[in-house]
Amino acid sequence: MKKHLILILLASMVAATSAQNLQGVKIYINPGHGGYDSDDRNVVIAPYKSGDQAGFWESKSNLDKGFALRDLLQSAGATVIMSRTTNTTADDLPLSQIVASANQAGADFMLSIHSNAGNGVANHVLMLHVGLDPTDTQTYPTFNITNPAHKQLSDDSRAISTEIAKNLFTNELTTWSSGYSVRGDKTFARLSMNWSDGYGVLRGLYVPGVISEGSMHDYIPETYRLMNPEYKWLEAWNFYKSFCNYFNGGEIPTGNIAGAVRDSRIKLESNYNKLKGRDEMLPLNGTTVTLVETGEKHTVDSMQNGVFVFKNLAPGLYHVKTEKEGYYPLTQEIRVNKHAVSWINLSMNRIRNTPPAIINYSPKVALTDSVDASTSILLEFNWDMDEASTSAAFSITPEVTGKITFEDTQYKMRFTPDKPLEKSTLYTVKLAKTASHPDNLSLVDDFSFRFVTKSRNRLALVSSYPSVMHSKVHYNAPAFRLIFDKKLHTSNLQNSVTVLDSKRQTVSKNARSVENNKIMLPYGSTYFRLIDNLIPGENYFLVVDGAVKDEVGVSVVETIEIPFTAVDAVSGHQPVVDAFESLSYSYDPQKSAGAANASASLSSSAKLAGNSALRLEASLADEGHVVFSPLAALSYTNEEMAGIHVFGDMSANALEFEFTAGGDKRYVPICTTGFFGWEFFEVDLSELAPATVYTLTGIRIRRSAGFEWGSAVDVYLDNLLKYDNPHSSIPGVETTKPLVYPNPASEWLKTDADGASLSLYTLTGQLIRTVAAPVMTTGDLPPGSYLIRIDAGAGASYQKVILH
Amino acid sequence: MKKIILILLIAATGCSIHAQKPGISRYNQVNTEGNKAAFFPVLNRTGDLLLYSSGVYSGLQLHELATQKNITISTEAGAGYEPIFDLTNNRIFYRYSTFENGRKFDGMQSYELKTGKTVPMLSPRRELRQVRGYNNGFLVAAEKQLLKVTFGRTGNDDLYFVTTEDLKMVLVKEGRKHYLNPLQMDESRYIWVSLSPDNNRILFTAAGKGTFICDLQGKILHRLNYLNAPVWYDANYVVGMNDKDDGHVVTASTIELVNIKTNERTPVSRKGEIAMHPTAAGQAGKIAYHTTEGKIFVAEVVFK
Repeated sequence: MKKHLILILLASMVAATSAQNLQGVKIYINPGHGGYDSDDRNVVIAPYKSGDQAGFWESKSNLDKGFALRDLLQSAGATVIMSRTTNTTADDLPLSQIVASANQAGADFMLSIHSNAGNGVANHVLMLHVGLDPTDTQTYPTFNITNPAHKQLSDDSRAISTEIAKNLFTNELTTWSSGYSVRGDKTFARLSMNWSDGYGVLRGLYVPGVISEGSMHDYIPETYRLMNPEYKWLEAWNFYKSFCNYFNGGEIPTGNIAGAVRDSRIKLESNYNKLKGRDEMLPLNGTTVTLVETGEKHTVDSMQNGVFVFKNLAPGLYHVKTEKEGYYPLTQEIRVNKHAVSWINLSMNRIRNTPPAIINYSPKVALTDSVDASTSILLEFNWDMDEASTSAAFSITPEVTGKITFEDTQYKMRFTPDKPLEKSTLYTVKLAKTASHPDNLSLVDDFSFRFVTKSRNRLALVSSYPSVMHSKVHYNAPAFRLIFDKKLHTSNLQNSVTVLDSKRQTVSKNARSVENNKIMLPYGSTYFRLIDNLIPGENYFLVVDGAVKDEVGVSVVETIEIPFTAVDAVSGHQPVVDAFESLSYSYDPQKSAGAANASASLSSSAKLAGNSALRLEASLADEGHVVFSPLAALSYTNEEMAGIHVFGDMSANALEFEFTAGGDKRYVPICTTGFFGWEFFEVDLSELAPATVYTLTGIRIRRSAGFEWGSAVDVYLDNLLKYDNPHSSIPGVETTKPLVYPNPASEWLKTDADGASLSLYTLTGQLIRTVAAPVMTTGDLPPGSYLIRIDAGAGASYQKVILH
Repeated sequence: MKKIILILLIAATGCSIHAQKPGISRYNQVNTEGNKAAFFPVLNRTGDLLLYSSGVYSGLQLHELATQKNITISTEAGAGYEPIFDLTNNRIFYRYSTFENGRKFDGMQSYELKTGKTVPMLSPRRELRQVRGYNNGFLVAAEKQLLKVTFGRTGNDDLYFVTTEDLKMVLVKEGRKHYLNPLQMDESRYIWVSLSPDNNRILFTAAGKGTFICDLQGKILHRLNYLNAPVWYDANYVVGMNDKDDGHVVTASTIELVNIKTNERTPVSRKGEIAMHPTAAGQAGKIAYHTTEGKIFVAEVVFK
């Protein structure tokens, strides 16, 4: 008690005999902004709505700091002039009036008080002083660093600004995202704002001055702190200390205790950004803080900051006691030094006086039901749990490897398997009663539950363009299309579906071209183009990361790589017999069946050459087909080749020429349209009857069975060619590529390469079957397009095959 | 009585002149020393000499408009802050600023135009504020006092002097000091105060309120609205700047000549210029101003 009385006596003595002396010093304070108007800065924080004057406004915060600083300076004998003492729009003075006021008041220094904005994520101190950075040699209209008087003004302004910055940066109640910066306003404005001559509030000032951006008011934990008057007083006190140092006004004989009180474990659950560390923890609103030696009490406000300050204390040893219902009281010793703030961040422990219990869990389904194999396992408790004992108490059978994390400040424990769970499997989850909370009370009993997984545990890529080893991807403005068996969750698609070049460098996507889930349900899709063209002849990879997932979280799991090669799809063969520069085809309903909404039109946007391409559209029923007939006749013989450029629609429908000679009508396959982009197809007409002139009487598109999204036909054609068949015109030419036949096939596939082995893949790269023989049976496989790999003596080659 | 008749005569003459409308007949750009950026021009009463400084009031240059000749008067800090020509056009009085322990001190010096001789007039002291020509020297407000600083004996005539103390308006009249608060502001923030050429009106700006003219009792006579850095052109006109800013930088500013009776404004600066801080020599029909790039122009005023 005696000790307490001595401290109180000392405090009153030092207060009465203030050692610092700023007599005669004149400071001009400009609390920035004013008026709660459009030139002000209103940061919306709960419980205030936008525009509510009771909420955070920079003008108000700056003014409060200005008032506190004025009182401190005046108590030390300084003269203070403020540019405003109220908060109206008229108080937000023109820059010229602020500068003139400081000059005409005969101020020794001008302080413009502000706080800054950093997109809600940054929080640091920035001083913008009159003048230049020390390394800046640039000449500005109003400032020439070779002029000694200008240099002196810049140096003096930097000296006091550095003093202020250092002191503000000692603040340990906030969380700084980086160190403090002291910059010349001319340099900073030129480099960061692209302004030619610094900040207007410092231009024409002929005494040292600074714009102080003390912290970032849009970093929400700081916004809440700036709602606390004591916290703003601390900033003012640090200004004051800086002035005492700079003006040799002597040391402040007292010190301050500034603290914040937070929960020791519970995190602040809110959706605004918090820098790692103290700001993540729950501030304890309403805590009573007592300075034991003086009996002074402080109640923490309700503004989510936990801040308390005991001001003007005599140097000595003190004890700070914090009390809050539901928490263990806490007393901490702290030393107060003169001319300083003693910072104290207190973490209080909650009283947990009942055993922990599980109040919820997932997946919670009856065993007659099933859950997605991608599920994680969540346990929710009535108390925040001890991580070590709770993790150790967890088990799952059959055994699954995975990661345990805690959420909601240890109220929830989540087990996330490394891979999707097994299909159609019964799992048992158990938490042993050894799991405890921080007050060492454990579960009363073991806890367990069971669930069964569904029969699907992977998201499947069912079709893609390019497909594996595709070697005809047109280099110019290539389009990429990936179709999955379920609708995609799109949040991570931008970075998890990528195109790499041969050096495995990412080729940037055109973000504006991305279209997700455009395909019919239940399928999912992602379509995109690239910013730059590909290079013809170069190899690339379309990569689908294992993290790509559907809407229920089932992921691809194993990363898929689809190698492909870029080419220039424009054929050099001549002549072009139809450049599709005018509309030369029309829908022929007489020849069509099961077709609706069919049309032929010219497209200038999707052309390959010239000014336009022919666009063919239709809706096809199952087994349906659509025919477009030419408006002018073109003739071909079996000695000739028909070449055509096709932009497919990934429907895998069959595209065919219709040739007619008298009563002889034949359909010659061009391609299946299971691709997306321009490709050139060379059609061998040798199956037409010899010595007969055929007329091209139509282009037919036939629905392929098994492709649900093939009903919507949307195909483009460009530059139809006619030229001699190289095989017939140059007899004896041999191809070195091993032949796989028949193609299309149904029951079997065979190669003519001696000693070859065959491997069959889906177009998405999944291996279906391998045989160490030149013949493979295929009758049991679903119809569609596949890729076959032929391993012969000379190496491996790939070919696309179609199974009926 | 003689004095009253004289004033009436001057007023009548003024009215007849200013029944005409002002306009600008020509602009001359001042060729500054070394073509350096120059700011804060000050014209002498006859409009043939001009002082200018740097962007932070350091250094002082004298420019002779007829010959475009520049003379360096000072390179010291503060030298360009409100220098004056004496009443006889023989001398220039200007200040120099120093800092001790962060505190600003200002001294005064004189420069004799004929000889180029510099004479220390006042040793550095705190709170040196407005300076005004007076007989063979100047009046200056320093701390709470009004000092007469002259060559030779000072006169003992009636003094009229207006200044501010911590932005409170102070009038010294007939040896007595009066605090004026024409707008009855709770916190006085008066800037750019000056006496009219006939010593019977005060031109001032109240920060955040506008620019006004009051009589020597503080009674508002004219409300000139928004007009910054105003100075008297003559007894009937003032000239100031209409500046706009975005809170960070000045975005536009025009110099405007304002008829105090009608509030009619005549643009002085040209479109495209950001023109600031005018100075006027009404009897010579000249107004000078600087632009934000550091060019000084002298505009010649004609009444038609």
